[in-house]
Amino acid sequence: MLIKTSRIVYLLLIIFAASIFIPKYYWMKFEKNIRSPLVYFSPVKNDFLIRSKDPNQVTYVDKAGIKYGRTEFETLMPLLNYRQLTLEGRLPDSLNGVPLILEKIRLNNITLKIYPSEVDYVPIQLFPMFESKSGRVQLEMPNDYFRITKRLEFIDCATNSIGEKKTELFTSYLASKNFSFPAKIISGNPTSKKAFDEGYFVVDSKDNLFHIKMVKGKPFCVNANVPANLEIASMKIMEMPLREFYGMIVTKRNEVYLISYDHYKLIKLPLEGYDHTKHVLTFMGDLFYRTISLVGKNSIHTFVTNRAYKVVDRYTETWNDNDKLTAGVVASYFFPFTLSLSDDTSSVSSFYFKFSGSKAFIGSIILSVIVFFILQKRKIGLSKGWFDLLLVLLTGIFGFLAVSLVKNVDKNLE
Amino acid sequence: MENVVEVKNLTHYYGNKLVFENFNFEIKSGRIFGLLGKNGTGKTTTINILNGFLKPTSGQCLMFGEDSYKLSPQTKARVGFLIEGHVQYSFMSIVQIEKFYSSFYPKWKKEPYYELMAKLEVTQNQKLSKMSCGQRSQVALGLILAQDPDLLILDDYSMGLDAGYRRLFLDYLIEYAKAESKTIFVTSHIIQDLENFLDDCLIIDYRSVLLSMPIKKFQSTFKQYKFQVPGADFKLVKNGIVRNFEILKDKATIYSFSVKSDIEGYLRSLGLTNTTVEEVPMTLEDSFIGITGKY
Amino acid sequence: MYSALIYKEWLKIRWAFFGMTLLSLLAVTYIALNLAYYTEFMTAKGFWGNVILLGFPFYTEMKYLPVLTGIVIAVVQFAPETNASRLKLTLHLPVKENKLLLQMTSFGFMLLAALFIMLTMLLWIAIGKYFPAEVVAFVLNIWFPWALAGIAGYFLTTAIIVEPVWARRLIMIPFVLGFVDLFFDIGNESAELNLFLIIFSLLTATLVLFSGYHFKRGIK
Repeated sequence: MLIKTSRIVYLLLIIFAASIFIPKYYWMKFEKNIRSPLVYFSPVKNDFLIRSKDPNQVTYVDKAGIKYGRTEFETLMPLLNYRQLTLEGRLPDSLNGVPLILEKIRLNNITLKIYPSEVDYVPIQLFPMFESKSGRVQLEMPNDYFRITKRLEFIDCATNSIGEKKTELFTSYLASKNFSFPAKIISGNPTSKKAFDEGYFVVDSKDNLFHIKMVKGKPFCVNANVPANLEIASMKIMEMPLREFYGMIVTKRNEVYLISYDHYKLIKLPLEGYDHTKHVLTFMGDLFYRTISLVGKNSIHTFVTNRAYKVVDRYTETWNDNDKLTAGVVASYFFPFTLSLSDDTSSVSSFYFKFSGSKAFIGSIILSVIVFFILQKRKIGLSKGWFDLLLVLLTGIFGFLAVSLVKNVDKNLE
Repeated sequence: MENVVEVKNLTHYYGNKLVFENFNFEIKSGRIFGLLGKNGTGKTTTINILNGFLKPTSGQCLMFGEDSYKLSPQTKARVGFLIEGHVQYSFMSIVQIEKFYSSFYPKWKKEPYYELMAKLEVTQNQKLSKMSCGQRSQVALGLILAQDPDLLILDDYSMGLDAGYRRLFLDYLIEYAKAESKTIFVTSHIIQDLENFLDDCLIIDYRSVLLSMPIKKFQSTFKQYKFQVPGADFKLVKNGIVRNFEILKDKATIYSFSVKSDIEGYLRSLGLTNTTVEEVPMTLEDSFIGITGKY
Repeated sequence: MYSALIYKEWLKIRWAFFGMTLLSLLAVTYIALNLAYYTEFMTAKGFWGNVILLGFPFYTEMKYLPVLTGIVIAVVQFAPETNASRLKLTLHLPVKENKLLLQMTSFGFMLLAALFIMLTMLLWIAIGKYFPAEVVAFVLNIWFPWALAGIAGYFLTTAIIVEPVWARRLIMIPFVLGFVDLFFDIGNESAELNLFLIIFSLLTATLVLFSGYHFKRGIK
């Protein structure tokens, strides 16, 4: 009985290791670097420009398929390339009736990216509360970090102890604003290398969203009054000189909102088909447009909106990812599944299975039949060999490897 | 009398190489049984099967009525086992090793062990790894005697020992065997020591059993006959009468279970009418070589 | 009888165990000293920023220590049992063979577990002196699979050493290495993965029985 158990453990170990490492080495050899195309929207043409996937060849095509070289691209995307154009003296004075002033261009060029692994990432729940109005050009890292558990506690770095006065000050202020401890989500931009500080956006235990920062040593706390059923999954806060919005909210239902400076009004991004576990969300903004792309493994959906976030144009492209190329097709016949303990789509290590579907099943059946005959030859009947057969049927080549390496246990010998 | 060990139709292959086939023998309680044979004939294999360290290709081996592959702990406590080369836990000292083993065996008697240890020139804390081969063999012997087993299995107890240690070993074994119902199973390829020790013997050769009978019977019925032959080209064959033979120049030797008169009759039938046949007495070792051959 | 067996195991293991314990204590001491050092030279808030915001791994000295310890203890415990067919000695003892092997490995396991728990406590205390509970929890969470690798490494090494057939040993090695390697690549594990790793590491204790079974089957 014990020996049988040990054999099963052995088999599982081999299958576990094999299903992780064999595909891993296979893909290391055969994986092709397939990059998503980069999609731009030209305010000059009011049309898309797509940079090809080939990293070696820098060409751009429009929707009609006409090719453009780099110089032409720069002309068509003046806001993106204003520095190069300025250097060459090619920057136009105005565009679409709007004068192109360098300061204004710079101010309105914003970019933001949200990766799937960021959405479920929970960092260490200790954050630096910056002095947002220090009167100094450079933000300074504070001498303490805060957490929001039963109170908003400040822990001094040098002594590793709680600063009671400051803690009391902030905690009572938050309580007075009806903040319900503890916090569920705390999100901010915890670096001193930014132009200014807008503090943190915090979801309390009753799912209310608060904006919390420190102004001249005093607590600032305002309820953003977001709708009750928002179901915030994650937030990305980024201080931008444009001061249009504080950052983005991604909800559990895959909606994306901007938290605007206008009384925290939520602006819903007009996206379709966003899946925060599958897509990288890229947000590019300039004087005229917002170009928002949802980049997946084998697809890109781009939505272009005007400054009022109304959709102006759309673009979609799909391509064959590694799974559809030869290496991937071969793999789907050989590996009934692959296992990995980490994945691009999440910051959590766990079991990530990728099933190949029915194609590999043929292989599994063939291998099961082979095992059946081997068992027959060794005079092991079905009543004893069923486990091996089932294992090979379910795990294909990995199970076959395992049962070949670890022979069946002779009952008489236990 | 109880059969302490029963071996029935034991066959074993290493891969495709046959070691032995259809081995059958019994070891009765209170007897001293010797498994003799040249190196490589399967003695250690038999011991391994007996102790449950090897599963035979086919056949059955019973010890105290139990399948030797699945000996119960109670039965194992009744068996003393000396591994070839007197292998023991060499990282322990003589005191530590006695203390260790004593808790496993209900009949443990430490007096015989320490009596033996007193004869050794070793300190209490000296590790076995720092002892000589001979000293280690004594430790192994002492431990077995202290265990007081009903069946003693000794796989080549004489390996690596000089004459003195071999004799000491034998002396103690003989003393031990005098007690009631103590069975001893010995394998060896040094025959001379065992001459007055064994009760029964089983002599094996590559792939076959040459002989299985009590020693006394073997020594009284197996004889060596010397005679002259016309020349080196004189032909003898092995048959029912001639178990083994040698011809050197004009001298021939026949080993046989037959009596002298039968030998003379056989030689006459081969055309040797006027030869004198001389019966030469043999030691156990001579008999062993006689039946197994010099090569 | 168990105590006699433990006695024998202890005789084999003790020096290696003391040595590895000493090494581990040195490593923890080194980390504790580093904590003071970084606090001084990065300034406290600089060090905090590096650890909390940038994930500065000031504890990497502990990474391979448990698995190394597990392997060393396994070797020191079982190599003397298996050279020159010494396993026959142990298997001849009047105890059920599987029970014997499991008793031997359970002793090694208990020593390792005790050592790792002690190290965990020491890390807790050392880090807790300089950082709040959140950071301590974060580091211990990373340390946990490393310690588990020590347990799995121990059990798997015993299985490899007891395995009598060299060809099988060689086959086992890449799978064992691969499996143990997995413990070091993960961070921030899900509860399911943690549970699986704990249970499976404990289950690897049975693999030595399979090797013992091979020994008894006597495949040459």
